[in-house]
Amino acid sequence: MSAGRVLYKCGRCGRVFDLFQLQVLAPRIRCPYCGYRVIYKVRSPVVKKVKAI
Amino acid sequence: MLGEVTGLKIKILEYDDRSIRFLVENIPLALLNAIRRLTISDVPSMAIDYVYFIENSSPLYDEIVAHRLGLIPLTSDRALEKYGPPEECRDNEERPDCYARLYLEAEASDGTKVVYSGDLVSDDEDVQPVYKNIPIVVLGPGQKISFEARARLGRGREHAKWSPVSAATHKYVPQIIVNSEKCYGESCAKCVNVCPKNVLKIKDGRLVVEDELSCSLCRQCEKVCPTDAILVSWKPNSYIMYVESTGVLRPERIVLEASRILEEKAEQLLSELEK
Repeated sequence: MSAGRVLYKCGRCGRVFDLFQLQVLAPRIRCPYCGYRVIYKVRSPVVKKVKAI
Repeated sequence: MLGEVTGLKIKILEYDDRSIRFLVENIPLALLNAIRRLTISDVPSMAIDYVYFIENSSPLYDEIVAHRLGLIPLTSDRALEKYGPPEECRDNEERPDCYARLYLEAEASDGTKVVYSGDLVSDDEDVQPVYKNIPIVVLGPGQKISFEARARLGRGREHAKWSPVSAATHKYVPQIIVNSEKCYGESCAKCVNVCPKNVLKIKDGRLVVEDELSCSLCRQCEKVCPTDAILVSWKPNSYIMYVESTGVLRPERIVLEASRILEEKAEQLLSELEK
């Protein structure tokens, strides 16, 4: 997975898809597989550096 | 202002793993207060400075988890010799003797799971969480957290997490003088009842000072005495100092390090003046 590719996850069926699939398969904001309207952004796979303050 | 310090005497009143209480005689207040302030702001200790998050699906943001990790006290007694000084190590992760690494990987399979400071795995046995039971985050079913934290030496004046003491105080040595000719003794005993520290007692019908050192100099006894038989005062140039460690360093070590730092600062001032 390259950095910058944002992934989404369906809140009901749990399937993961990217923005392209979202637009092509479901022209509105819904899960392209089950049609559920709550989708979550998946944490990107990069390591994040945080200062402990 | 300070002049020469002569006849300095120290007597340890209480001492355990976490705290020390001692009586110092013949010391100027300014000098003792300088040492006290240095214990808070200048004695170095280890604390987590950076956290590299690999995964975090816990309810807390990365920043909140990092903040909580920073506040966990880490044992530093041997780290003081091992790791580089704070001034050279700040933001210098390339230097090999600056940072200790601590790892944590946890997942709640079913049911909730509390991640504790004791779950941190350190690559240096001299840098470990002092307390194993500090909760870091609560994971819900299926949630995961995984990170690598880097700890370094720092000073309290940069961030309070690097301050090795939770309390550093000094107070005057109380002196309570009872004029037994004026005192009514058992028939009055107003001062005995009003004293919040239970310093005064009635013994054989007479007023006696039993635990003088625990007096907080509040002077309530002076106030309630109908005949002005009590005088609360203090000894000049003698103080009781109390240092309570967070557990990162031994309490006597904190005082010794602070004194050494004060000495260094004084030497530095002299050499700057001579230039």
